[in-house]
Amino acid sequence: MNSLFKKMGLALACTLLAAGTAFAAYPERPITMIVPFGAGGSNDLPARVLAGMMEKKLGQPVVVQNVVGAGGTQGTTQIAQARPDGYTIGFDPTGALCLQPHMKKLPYGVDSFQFIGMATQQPVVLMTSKKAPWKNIDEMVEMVRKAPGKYIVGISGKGNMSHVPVLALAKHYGLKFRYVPYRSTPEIMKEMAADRLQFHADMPVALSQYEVYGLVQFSDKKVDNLPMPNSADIGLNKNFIMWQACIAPKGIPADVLKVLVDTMREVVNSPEYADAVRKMSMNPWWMEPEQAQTFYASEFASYGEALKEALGN
Amino acid sequence: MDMIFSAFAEVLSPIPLLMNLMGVMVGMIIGALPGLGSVVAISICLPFTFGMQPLQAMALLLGVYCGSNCGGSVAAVLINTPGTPQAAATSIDGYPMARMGKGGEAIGWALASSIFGGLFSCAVLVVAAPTVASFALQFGPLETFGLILMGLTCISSVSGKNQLKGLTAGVIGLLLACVGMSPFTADARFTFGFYALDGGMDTVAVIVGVFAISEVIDRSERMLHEAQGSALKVDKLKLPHISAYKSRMWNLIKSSIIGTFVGILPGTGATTAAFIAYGEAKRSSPRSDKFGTGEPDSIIAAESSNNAVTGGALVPSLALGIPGDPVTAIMLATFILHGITPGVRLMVDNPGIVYGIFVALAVANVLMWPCCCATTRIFNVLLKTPEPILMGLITVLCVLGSYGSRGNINDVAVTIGAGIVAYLLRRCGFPMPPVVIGLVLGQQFEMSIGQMTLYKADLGWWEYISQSPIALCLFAVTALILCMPLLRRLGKRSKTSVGA
Amino acid sequence: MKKQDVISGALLVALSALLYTQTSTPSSDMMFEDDIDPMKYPRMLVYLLGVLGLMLAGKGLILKEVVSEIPIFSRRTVGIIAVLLIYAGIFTTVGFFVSSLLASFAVAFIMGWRRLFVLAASCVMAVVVIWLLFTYILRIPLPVGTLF
Repeated sequence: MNSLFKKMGLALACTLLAAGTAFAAYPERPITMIVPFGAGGSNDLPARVLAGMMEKKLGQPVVVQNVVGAGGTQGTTQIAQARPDGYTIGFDPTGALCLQPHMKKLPYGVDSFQFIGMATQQPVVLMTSKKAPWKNIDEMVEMVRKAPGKYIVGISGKGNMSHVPVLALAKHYGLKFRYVPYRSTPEIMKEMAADRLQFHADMPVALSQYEVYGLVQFSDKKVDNLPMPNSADIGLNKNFIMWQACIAPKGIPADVLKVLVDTMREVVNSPEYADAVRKMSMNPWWMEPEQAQTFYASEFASYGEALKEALGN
Repeated sequence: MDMIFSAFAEVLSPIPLLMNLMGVMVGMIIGALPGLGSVVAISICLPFTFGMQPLQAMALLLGVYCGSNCGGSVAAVLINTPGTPQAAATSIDGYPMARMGKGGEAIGWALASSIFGGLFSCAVLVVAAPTVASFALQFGPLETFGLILMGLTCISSVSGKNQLKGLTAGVIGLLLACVGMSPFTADARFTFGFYALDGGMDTVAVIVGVFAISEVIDRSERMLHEAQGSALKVDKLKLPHISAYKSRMWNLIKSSIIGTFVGILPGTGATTAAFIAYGEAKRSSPRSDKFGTGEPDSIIAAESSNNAVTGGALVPSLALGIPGDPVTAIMLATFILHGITPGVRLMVDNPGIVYGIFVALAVANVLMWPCCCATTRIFNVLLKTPEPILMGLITVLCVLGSYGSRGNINDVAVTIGAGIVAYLLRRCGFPMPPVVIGLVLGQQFEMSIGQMTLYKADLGWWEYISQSPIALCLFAVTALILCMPLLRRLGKRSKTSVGA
Repeated sequence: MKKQDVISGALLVALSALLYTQTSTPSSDMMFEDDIDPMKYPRMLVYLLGVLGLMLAGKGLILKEVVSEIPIFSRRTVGIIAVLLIYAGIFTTVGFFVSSLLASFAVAFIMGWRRLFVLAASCVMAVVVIWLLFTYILRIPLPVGTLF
């Protein structure tokens, strides 16, 4: 093992001795990181990058396990219900944490998790096909207003991060779209290339991968690699930021949490991590657990509001 | 042309070749484990590709892709446990052959057909990717619906004499696909209040239960009634002689075309391809009455088509940057991690990697031969264990496989429940493949119906359907397939009446 | 009368009735105006299943009884089914290790293997090998119980 690990282990042993607990040095066996979405997706790849870098520092394998199903809620439930011993942690995005609990009754809620820290953030972008008749958001608004119900938005699930931002935009401008659900982003992109549908809201990574361009980013700050108007520019007073956080079930021991937080902080602030996630058009974003917890509570409430508003009744 | 040669030189250099070989071998073994299929195999290998050159990474992943496709059939033939869903059709005739002591021969047929199907689709990929990809774009919800409808007619051809029971089994499969969250709203269906069922029935878990677990229960009693020594015979893999293919060539080519074509269309997949090809072979083969009792024709159809999907799925992935199945989606994600942008400009910007992929895919298909021999040998060692102990191990492997396929604890209960129900249904004379067909096609079927209604909006149905010649064609073919047996019977009757 | 067909047909009708009650549960309150009724399509399938069950049962009344020499329920099959159900029940609580050991042992025992020492040894070995394979090579974490 490298000397860093030795040092860390030594430091840990000292704190443990000082605290006088009966714990062996955590971690003593592989750690499972649950990702509630399929392998290779934009929720899985950053988790694998993070896990790979954390395991080098922790000295034990951090195994990514994809628990797929029901829009990410199955996996998130497994995180919430796991034994809080630090050997099961999770990597979860905004949608499963903030939106899904408002859509239906779930075995987890806003107070089920202990945040370890934030990993990435990027604004949701409304994309449109390069074949579409408009060239910017103003032209788009004008044309859609003239033909209500003609243009179609592809969504990857009702009331998720590909649906709610577009609803908010439509409400802001008084536009009428049709929303057609699909199972995955590639299927939506296929339809977009065939000009059967015109819009899709997703993470910025799709911009470089497919023949689409961004009309607007749902963020009031400008991100330097996204040259398009933001929600402040169009007067939409809303943020839809896709963030991804590393979480653990509530009740994880404080010393174990500290090891995880220290390791993750070091990884997320490292240049290698930044490089790797920037390749996926994501931005590294670190936030201490306490702040993350408060931030999550406020996000949870604001998405509840946004959803209610979007339903319009 | 130069590009091709330099790609050959690159792929055949030691490290990429080694990666390719390792990929095929690892894929083959993971594929042969019940429940763990291509997606699991690829995601296991994914972390290793982070530190590799792009071409090495691709060689590894393509190897895993082809290997897992083929490995599933080894298990399907030898222990009636489709290692991957796409091998379910292979077990229909493969396992009876193995029971007759011709397991090595059955694997030989499967391997040869797989290699042919893989190389065929690879050729299509190299020659016609851009043209074919733009054709795939014309498949919207309506056309997909037509294709799935055509796929569902296979229920009739796999049910044989028991049409009513086959149809019932198909409906059960379709209903299983409905369990869990609706694709259109957040409502849960048929969960009886259990949150655990919200995630739906995992195809893999059900298939493993329906084929393998029910077989374990069945064997426990049946082995008492069989003469000693009828246990699985162990023999080496035997490739079929080329002359044996004489009357089966058309079947082989046709199934490869079906597989390639289905692979190109996003959202369907290898299992569908295998069953459509099986249904087609059953309709047209001169030996169709022997299907289900160990007829190589059915293995040829299933295997050549499910492996032809590999090349097909790469067509839209490389030409348009739109992955054709979850596995190619992971491959494209690997591109992004290596700083290569997939999409329409891929062939122009990075011709080297594209040609490298062509060659690596072809090489992986050839490498399946030695790897399949090795895997069969491992299995032969396993099969020497006495049957009771073997069955115990299969039970454990099945349960773990269904758990590992998507990490969901509830899938263990699903597998075992499916196995017990399937055993009872089997003993009452219900055929099992229709359940799998219904389950595999069900979700996309419902999805496309919903999407059609949304796209149609205020148009009349006929107005909407008549816009698409492809859909009309598919509907016509479906109708023809369904009416064919009736017409044939009528024709026979008039002939005999003329003769008399 | 073909007893199996009548019984399975009747059971299918009962199943479709049971499933039908599930399709009329009130949907969640979060509804969008353009939502498709999520129960429409499954309800059609349920009707179809009911009709098919009726046809099967009706046809079974006419068909002649076929007696298989291999009973559907025997001591062995029922035993295996019981073992499987227990396996599914304890898989998560006891953990993979103990439950798999018990299951593989019990299945082989019911199938008539009586050399217990050989059996126990091979089961332990196989389970350990599988565990190593899954945890360290395939890196698929298996559920562990309180003991292991």
